[in-house]
Amino acid sequence: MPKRNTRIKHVSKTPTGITGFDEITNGGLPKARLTLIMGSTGSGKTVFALQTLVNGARNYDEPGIFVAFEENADQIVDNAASFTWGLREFENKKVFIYDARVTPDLVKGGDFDLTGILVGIKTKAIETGAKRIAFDSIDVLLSLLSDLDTRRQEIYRLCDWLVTNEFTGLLTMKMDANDEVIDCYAFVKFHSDCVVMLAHCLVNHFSMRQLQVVKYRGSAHSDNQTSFVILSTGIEVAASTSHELKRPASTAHVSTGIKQLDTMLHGGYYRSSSVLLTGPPGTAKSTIASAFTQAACLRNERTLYVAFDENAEGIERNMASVNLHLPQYRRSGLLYIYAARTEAISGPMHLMKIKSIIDEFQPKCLVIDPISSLIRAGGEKPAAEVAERLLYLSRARGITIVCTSLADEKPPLLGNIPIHVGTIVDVWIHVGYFIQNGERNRSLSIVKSRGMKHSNRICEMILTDEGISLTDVYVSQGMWSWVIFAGNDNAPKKPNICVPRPRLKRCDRSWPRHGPNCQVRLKRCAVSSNLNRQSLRL
Amino acid sequence: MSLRHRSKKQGDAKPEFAFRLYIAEGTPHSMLAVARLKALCEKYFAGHYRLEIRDVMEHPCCILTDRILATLTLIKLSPEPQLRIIGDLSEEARVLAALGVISEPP
Repeated sequence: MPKRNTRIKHVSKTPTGITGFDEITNGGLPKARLTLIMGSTGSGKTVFALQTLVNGARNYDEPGIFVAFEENADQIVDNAASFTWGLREFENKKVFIYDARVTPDLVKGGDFDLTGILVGIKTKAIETGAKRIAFDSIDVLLSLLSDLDTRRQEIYRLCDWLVTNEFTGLLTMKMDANDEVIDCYAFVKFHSDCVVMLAHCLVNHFSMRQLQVVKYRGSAHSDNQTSFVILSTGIEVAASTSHELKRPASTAHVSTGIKQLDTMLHGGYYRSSSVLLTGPPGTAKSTIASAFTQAACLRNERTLYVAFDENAEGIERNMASVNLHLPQYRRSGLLYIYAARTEAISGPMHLMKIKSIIDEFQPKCLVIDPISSLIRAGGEKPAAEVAERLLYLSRARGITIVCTSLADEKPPLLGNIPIHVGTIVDVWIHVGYFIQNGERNRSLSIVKSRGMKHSNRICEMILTDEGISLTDVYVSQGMWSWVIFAGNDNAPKKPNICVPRPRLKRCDRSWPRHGPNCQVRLKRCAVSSNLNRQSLRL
Repeated sequence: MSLRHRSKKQGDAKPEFAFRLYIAEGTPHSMLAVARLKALCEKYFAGHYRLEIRDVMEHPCCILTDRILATLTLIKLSPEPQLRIIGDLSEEARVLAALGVISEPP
């Protein structure tokens, strides 16, 4: 039986080498096809095109030609010098900049076609072996054509030429302030095989860049808007892709740095898990995070501490007061404290900075203190996105991440933490205050801890010169009172905090105001509080 | 002084016009443009012009040196300043204005 020819030709792709972009497009740009890059002024079109060429020349053995309609070669090379691409060394060898400026001495005397320039480019491509051709931006030349039909015809010619010569084409095109392609060029969108839209806008006074793959013929792609930033390495797209989640879950524990907290969690956090510490100001969130940092350094694991609006020296001084000594680890290079100025850059930019430090430093443990600061860098929605990406990123890289987050004084409920990541994190610890008997005491409880036994108790957290310790609270007559009887004979026995508290009888827990028993109970209570007062006088 | 001197010189000996026209051989546009250009030269620069017609396919290297963007491109090499006219020369008035034959395009 003759075999049926079932060969289906898939769109072959060529990677851009732009971090994140190849992930959202499942491999890059369509090979030997036309890609349109649209965007308003300053949206990064030229950077995108140039970076694709440089990466092609450097990493994928695909030299390129950059056809510049607006700037001359020197200007382009000079502008690109602010990036770490080293374009100058590539120029004329692997990335040729083709000067196609429409000079002032050019007069239009009728209709024309692009054959001239295409022949020129092809000649150069044969010479350099170029595979990628970027046109930046062709509307300068097309606008000289008198009518829409001729323009359309020339775009056809260009597409055809790319396919016949197997060039991967990039075309940049301007959009007006309303992010609309100038009407007469709208047809280019329909002729392109892939359309990438770059947008640049202000959100709460912070500059935010968004990238969207609007169209990709013959290929699945993520069509959501994704934020991107332009760093010294070029464009980085903040892609969060499904493969980031494919990582075996570790069952190994890492110490929290606090002995009793390790006990409460039956051994500590899981490795590569995410931990959220919430609490109002002054509840020692940073201290708990620093304890974790010190424990990580003691295990000889590289740790990155991202501190928003606090410098490394400040953290070290503060932590020294609770017997946490970080300077030695920072000196030895085991600990890197990145002090970020929150409002200097936008949330996505912070993410990328942190990401690039992670790439370089390769930490095993990461602390973000506090992650809620990101709200001040562009508002809640971008902040939540950034927080989420950071958590997924850490999970993908196998990094144990501890984030602190400012929350109000109420007990933790979904919704009253500024950045809502409570459902993503593996462990959520809430620290708070209890104000009672003229004292403000710190409390700690575990809201959730996925996949491990953990204590349900609310503990008191005590900060001393020795460090952080947790003790159980003493329940007296249905009232919380803190265990402060250490050394006193009357002190109740310190219970084991990792064992759930035996259920109290209902009548003990309630506080009946009526009934025959009431007076007796009140008396008993007075005795108890007298006892307390005596012991306090110690 | 110098102005008058120059205009006098121009009046005495007509400057020689040198043109180079880039075409894409075989296209209707090109054939038309060549015919138009020849007619134009005969009409306005008879006896003092040089015309060179180059096919882009045959002279690909010249495209780079002459910075040719489009076919058709007409380059006026002399007299100075150099001038480039793109298109099929169908807009005659503009072409003539650019060449300085008539003062203003309509």
